[in-house]
Amino acid sequence: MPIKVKLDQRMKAKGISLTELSERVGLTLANLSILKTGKAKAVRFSTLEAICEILECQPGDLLIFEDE
Amino acid sequence: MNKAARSLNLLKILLAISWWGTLLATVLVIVLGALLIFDPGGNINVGLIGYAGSVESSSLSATTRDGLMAKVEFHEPVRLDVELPAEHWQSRRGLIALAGIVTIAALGLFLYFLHLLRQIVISVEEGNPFVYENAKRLRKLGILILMGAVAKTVSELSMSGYADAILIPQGFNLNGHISVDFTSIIAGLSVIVLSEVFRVGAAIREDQDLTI
Repeated sequence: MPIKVKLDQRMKAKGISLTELSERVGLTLANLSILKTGKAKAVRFSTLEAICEILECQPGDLLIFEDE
Repeated sequence: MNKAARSLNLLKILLAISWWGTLLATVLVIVLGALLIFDPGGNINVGLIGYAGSVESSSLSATTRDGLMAKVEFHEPVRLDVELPAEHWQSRRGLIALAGIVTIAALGLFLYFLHLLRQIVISVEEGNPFVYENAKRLRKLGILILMGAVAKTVSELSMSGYADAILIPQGFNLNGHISVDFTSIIAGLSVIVLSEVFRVGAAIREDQDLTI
């Protein structure tokens, strides 16, 4: 999929672990892992909103388009 | 236990009974087949299926409760069970072996059919029926039902053809009748259609599972 999820950089910048993010966003660790590894097929606006709020970023900071 | 769980349990029990019953029948067919082929006394009779036409029905009669005569005729072709004496089969053991192999193969396929059904029931019990595996299982079940319908037609035609070749009928004619099991054909096609529904269902389920 040419849409890549750049969760790693924002998490590093904020110094937040995957476990902590999953707890604060209210997602299971397994689901957040699917999102982080790019296996997800779709992201809900509510999920994006919660992640952006915690990582203090814009949706565009998390998702990028890479032509394959 | 709720109603759905009870009916699922009942289904599991019925499938288990069918599974073990078919397994037992397969063993019995193997034992009987061996006895028929190797039995020195030859005391076991083997039956055939035939289809009769022009059945003499003049000796049959019926009256209504108020004394009126009713016309009685056979709905032809009439299916017949023909039991041939053991002596007939003594020189035809190859045929018995062939019939035995075909029967065992049919029972084997039926066991596979039951196995697929049991796998589907297990996936329902686990709360995960909309998976690609079940779509494939349903497709296989549909194909097996269609194969069963064709095999039934071919085996009955072969048996009635054999009966026609070896018997001299009295009071009726034997004819090679092709009986097509339309109910099974429709059932098989319906299950294949259902398998396509499951394939789409599995894709939707996967999309839903991977929506975060």
